[in-house]
Formats: sequence, structure tokens, C-alpha cells
Amino acid sequence: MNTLHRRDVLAGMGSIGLAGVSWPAMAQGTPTSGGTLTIGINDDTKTLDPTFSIQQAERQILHLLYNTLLTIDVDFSLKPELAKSWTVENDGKRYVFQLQDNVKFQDGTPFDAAAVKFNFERRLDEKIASPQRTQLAPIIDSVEVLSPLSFAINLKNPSPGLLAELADRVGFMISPTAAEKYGKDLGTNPVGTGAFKLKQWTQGTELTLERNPNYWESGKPYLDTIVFKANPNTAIGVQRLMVGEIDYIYGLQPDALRQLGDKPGIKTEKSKIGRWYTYEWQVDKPPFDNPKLRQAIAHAIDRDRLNQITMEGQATIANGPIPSGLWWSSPDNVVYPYDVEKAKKLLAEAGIAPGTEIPMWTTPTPVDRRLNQLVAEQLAAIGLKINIIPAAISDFYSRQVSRAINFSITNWTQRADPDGLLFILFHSKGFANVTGYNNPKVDELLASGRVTQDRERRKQIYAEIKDQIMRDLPYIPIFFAAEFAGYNSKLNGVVWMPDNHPRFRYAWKVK
Amino acid sequence: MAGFILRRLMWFLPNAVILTFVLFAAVTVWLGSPAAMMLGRDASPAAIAEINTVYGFDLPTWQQYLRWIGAALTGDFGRSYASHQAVSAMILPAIPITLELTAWAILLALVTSLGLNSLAVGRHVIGVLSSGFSIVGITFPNFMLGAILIYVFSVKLGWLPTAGWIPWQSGVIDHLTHLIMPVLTLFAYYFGSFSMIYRAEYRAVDQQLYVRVAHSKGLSPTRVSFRHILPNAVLPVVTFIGISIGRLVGGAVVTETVFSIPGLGRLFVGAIASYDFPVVLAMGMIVLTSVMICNLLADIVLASLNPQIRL
Repeated sequence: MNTLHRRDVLAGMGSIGLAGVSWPAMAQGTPTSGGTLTIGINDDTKTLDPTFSIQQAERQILHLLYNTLLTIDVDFSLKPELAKSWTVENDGKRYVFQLQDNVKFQDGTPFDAAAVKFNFERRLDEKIASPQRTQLAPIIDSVEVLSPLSFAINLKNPSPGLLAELADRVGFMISPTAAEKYGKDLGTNPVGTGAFKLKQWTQGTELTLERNPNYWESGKPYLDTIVFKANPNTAIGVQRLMVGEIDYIYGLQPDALRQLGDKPGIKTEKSKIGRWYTYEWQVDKPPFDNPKLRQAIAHAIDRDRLNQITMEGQATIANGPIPSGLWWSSPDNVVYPYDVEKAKKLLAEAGIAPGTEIPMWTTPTPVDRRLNQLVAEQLAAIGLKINIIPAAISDFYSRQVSRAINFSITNWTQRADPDGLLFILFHSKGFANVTGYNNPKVDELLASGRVTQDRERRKQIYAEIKDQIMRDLPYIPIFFAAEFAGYNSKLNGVVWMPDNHPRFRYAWKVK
Repeated sequence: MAGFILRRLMWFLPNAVILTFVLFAAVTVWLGSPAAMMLGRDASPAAIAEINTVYGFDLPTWQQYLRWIGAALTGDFGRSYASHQAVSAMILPAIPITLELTAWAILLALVTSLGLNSLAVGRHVIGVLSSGFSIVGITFPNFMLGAILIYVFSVKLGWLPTAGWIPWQSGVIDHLTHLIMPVLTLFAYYFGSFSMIYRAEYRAVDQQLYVRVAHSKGLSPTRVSFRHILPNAVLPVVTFIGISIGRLVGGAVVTETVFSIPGLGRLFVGAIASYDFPVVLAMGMIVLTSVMICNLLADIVLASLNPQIRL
């Protein structure tokens, strides 16, 4: 029996014209049209075909070339974009979407439900082998075209997390005509419905986008041209900003503030939610299978000091994997304040003799190295000798996954749905579960959070999960890092989203 | 001469097969399956298994290699694992860029090192300067020199753009201003090494009888230096150039990275780091080809400069 959940119906915010995206802009004022925005990025752009895109740097460009079905707000709430409204039916096993009218792809072909179905089938096609396939195939049963402007997705099991994916890579809508015409070369010949078209691309150096005059959100975009320039490293990028060669650069460490802080014509902005820096260790074997040892170490780390030294005090201390400011954030109920005496006591209770050696692995990244050295000092103060082992960054993550690395600092960016990060890290079968953490209660909670529709109920579930994780300590959360963007003060309208990708679509420049 | 060239070229194909097989085996055995790289941080075991099947990464090494060489011999170098672009489409635009950078740097180094070092006879100051520069050129790390040039000429003086590459068509002046610092960075090392080789040979040639004859005929030291010593002392430099160009086509990686130049070196290193085997193998072929051709050309030039060499 189909049930329509009224409380889940989201009315479209106006039909033609404004796409209900009301991101808080970086400055107030009336947008002026025209101009060129030059952005510095690190050179990771390999393909502009969302089907295959995995590099972080590509995402900001994809949001300009394409639109997504849904979009996110600054607390990861979901908002309409190409889909102007949707309803949840059949206890969460069916979503019905209404699409924006009068939207055309940049090659002139119409955007309609058939195009949406084509896009889903492309992601699910075994021969195409999109990296998104293995995630979608267990969830999506079929996609139905109901009318030219509406379609439905039938799921195998309820999966509210799918909607968040429609605001990300899965949701970028590619022109079916272009996909058929270019085949594998779509990566260099992107065709979407987006506000900007690809003008020119010298891989590894520069990418130029020009305004799409037929863009469906009337009056937008404001800029004529957007240029992405590759910087070999942030130091050069900062210099380029200072001499005016670029207008915007992000991903800067707090020490960049010192360079940019008082330069006329340049402003800085802090990321709303930083990367989650945390220590991970294998809790299913010695020495870290000893809960008192884990608690001792948690109390022995002075996170304020780590924050002061590595992040100039700009980071937010983390007491769990969930930052504040998201719709599923919850109070920090289980905390481990810095307490050397308590740490020593717990260490004794754990039965660990002073002077015991513990190996720790580190990448060459300066932030990681500094954190590890500070932590090693702090643990030495309670009698643990940390032996720091350097490891290459290129295979660091895969060595963590293969359990070759035990006890290291790691960092994660938030995903748009709570299930996104928490399941893969903390479920006993999560594929990023490098700690061997296995708590049946948490498994149960994660599984139910995955299929529950009601947002309030989900919020409670994830709050419980967070508390339990902090009791079990498969990770020691340190902080949510502070990252900065530096930009030309003439620039407005850039929104740096909590998924760490700035949105440039509605940016404008004062003349 | 024709026979010599032909015999050299005959070795190309067997060398190519051996080199690419060794390269292929090395990357697949040591680096492993590229599947995890192609999937990024979302690599789940299921996804990795699928990619392994679709791309054949779970086949034995020799079988994967045969697939590759079979296609390569017909000119099809496959598609990049990262961008899915045709490998030839990725490499072809980068070739003229690296070639131009290399040509400028080597030409400049050749002219200045031969010129300065030959001019140094009797001119103490030039000799000291030239020695000084060559030591700096050889010992100073590439990236440091590049960063210093950027800091001085771009950030502080604002005379030159920091990085990037502008093609000729978009403006000759722009193209040249973007070229200056990368070429200087690359040139420094070659100035140093050409100078050292040249000066060593120069001293040896200087002892020769014909040089003393030239002096006793009353020719000026400068004329003797350029007209009689240089053509003879230049021979080892020619050999060294042949070797250098061959290697440089593998790309001046550090310089290209510091200055964001879309050349072959950056492509090569980027491909290795992201386990993009089709690109790595195609680049291997390119380096092999250019080394062979440049060595061959160097030998031919030597033979024409020195009639005593029989090919």
C-alpha cells in the first residue's frame, strides 16, 4: 500500500526563476553582472564526467557545468534544484520527483525524466563501471518515467541516505545525447544544464568556463567567465593571490592568515565545518583492545595545546565524529578532559607498565607530523614511549585498510547524510572500518538509522551512536580542523559548503 | 652511414618490447591493482572486485601485458584509468611543450657555456664568474631555484607571471614571459654540467701541438679559443647533450611542477602516482624512443664533426 507522508512533502520554492537555493552569501549587496573570477586549485582535475569523477578538486567545477537533482544547505538539509519537489511513498521504498520545467542541456536538448532515467542507468551499467555503481546497485531497484517532468525511484529497501547522494555525484545530470555522442570522451566534452560551459582546458594548468546564456535560473549566473588555475602548492597560490593573479584560494592552513591577515584588498574566511582529525587504532587486538589503555590515552592528550600549536587555536575541539551545526548534531555527553593524573591511574589499572613502547605511524604531511610529535610528548608524560614510524602518503589509506598500519592520525570530511561516514567507519562490516570495531548494539543502531525516514528519530539514533562510540573509543577525536579561504575583497557570493567544496555558481564581483 | 643508422633502428622494436614488459611487470607487481586508486576513498571490496574484472586486473601479468602490447603495436595506447581520455590525446599536446622548454634550455646552456668558457681565456673575471655560475647551477636544487626566481621576479618585482603556460597563439609576448623563468631554472643545471665537461676537454685540447702552432702563428688567444680549440673540445659536450635531451623528454619534472607547465614530465609522474598504467607505459615508450633517436643523432653529429670517427 502506498503511503504519502505529508510531512515529507517539500513544496517547490517557486517554479521558474529562483531555484530555492538560499545559501548565505559571504557579503551582502546587489549582485553586479559581468567579470571574470580566477580561482586557484591544486591540480587534481582528471575528468569532467560525473560518472567517473572521484577527485575532490573536480567537484567545484562539476557544480558549475551541471546541476544536481537536489542540493544541500549549510547544515546538510536537502533543498530542491533540478527536482523541484519530491514525495516519499511506500514506507520509504519509493520516491516520486517533479522536475523543473523549461530546462535545457547546453547542447539544446531538453532536460526531462527520460534524461534522468538515462543518467541513473549510466551509473548502474556494469559495462561502464562507474565507481558509484556498487553503492547504488544494492539500493535502487528501478527508475520509472511517469511523465516528461516526473519520475520515480523504486528502492529495494528504504534508504533516506540516497537523497543526499542526489545532491552529489549521483545527482549531476548529463545530457544523454552528449553521452552517446562522446562516449568515453565526455570527460573532456562535458554537457550539463549548468550555469557555465567549458570553454578551454589545458590539463594540469588552466581550465576556463564561460557563462551559459540559456541557463534556466533567470538572471543567473552573474559572472561572464570563471578560470581555474592550477597551483603546484598553496605557497605559490597564496603568492598569486597577493599579486592579484587569482581572486580566490581555499584549503589554506591557519598560518596563511599571518601572511594574508592585513593585506589591503584581501579577505579571509574560515571553513564552517572542518575536517575531522582523529586518531585511529585497532581495537580488536593488543595493545589497544584494552579499554582502560584507550581511556588513559584519551585523558592524556591535551587537545587545546594541539589546537594552539597546529591550528593557531582556530580549530574546534571534537568530542565525537559529529560536529555541531548539522541537522543531526547532538550534545557531547561523553567527554575525556585532559587529566594527567587520571590518565596515569587508568594506565596502572590497565596493567601497562611505564616505559612500554607503542608504535605510531605518520605521513610526511606537516600537520600530521606536528600532531604526532606533540601527542608523543604528551603520552611520554604518562609513561608511554611512542615510536613514530614514517609512511608514504600515497598508500597510507590502503595500508590502514589492510591493517598494516595501527595507531595513526587520520582525517575525514563530513558527508551530506549521517549514514555516509558513520556506517563505513563504525559498522563492523563498514568498508572503511580500519579499527576492527565491532559493537552489535552500534551495528543495530546504524542499520536502523539507515532505513528510518523520520528526521527527528534519525537524529536520536545517531546521538546514541555517538555516545556509544565515545564510550568505546575506537577513535580518539581531536578537532575539526580550521581551514581558510583567501579572496579578493571585490568578490561576493561564494559559499563554502560543509562538504568542503566552495560553490561559485552565484558569485559576483564588484566592479 | 646508412647501414649504421639502419642497424641502430633495427634494435628499436626488441628494446621497446623488453623495456615495456619490464616496466609493466614492475608497476603491476610492486604497485598492485589500480582499482583502489580509480575508486578513491570510496573503494569498497565489492567495487574493487568489479573494477578488477572489468579491466582485467585479476589476470596474470603476462596476459595483461599481451593485451597492452597487442593494442600498442597498432597504435592504440588505450585510455587513461583516471580520466578515461585516450592516452594519445593526453600525450600529444604535452610533447611540443616539453620539447620547446628543453630546446630553449639546452640551446641557451650550450651557447652561454661554450661562449663564456671560450671567452674566459685571458679574461680572469669571466672565468671566475663562469666557474661560479656553473657550481651554483649544478648544486642548487631545481625547485629552490625556481621558487627563488618566482619570489624575486613575480612577487617582489612583479615583472613576470608566477606560473603557467600560454601557447604561442594566445600571444607571443605572453608566451615568452611565461617561458623565461622555467627556462632559466632548467638552464642552470645544464650550464653547469656543460661547463665542467667543456672545460675539462678544453684543458686537454689546449695541450695539443696544433694549438701551440696557432699561437705561434700570432693568432689572438680569443681566435685560437673559438676557431681551433672549441670545435675539438665540444665533442664530449655533444655526446652529453644527446644523453640529456633523451632524458629530458621524460620531462623536466620538477621545473614543470613548480611552474605548472603541462609537459610530459608532469604527466609521467602524475600517472605513476595515480597508478595510471596506460599513461605510464606510453610514456616509457616515448622516453625510450627519444633516448634512441637522440643518441643516434649525437653519434651522427660527432661523426660529421670528427672525420676520424667511422660509423
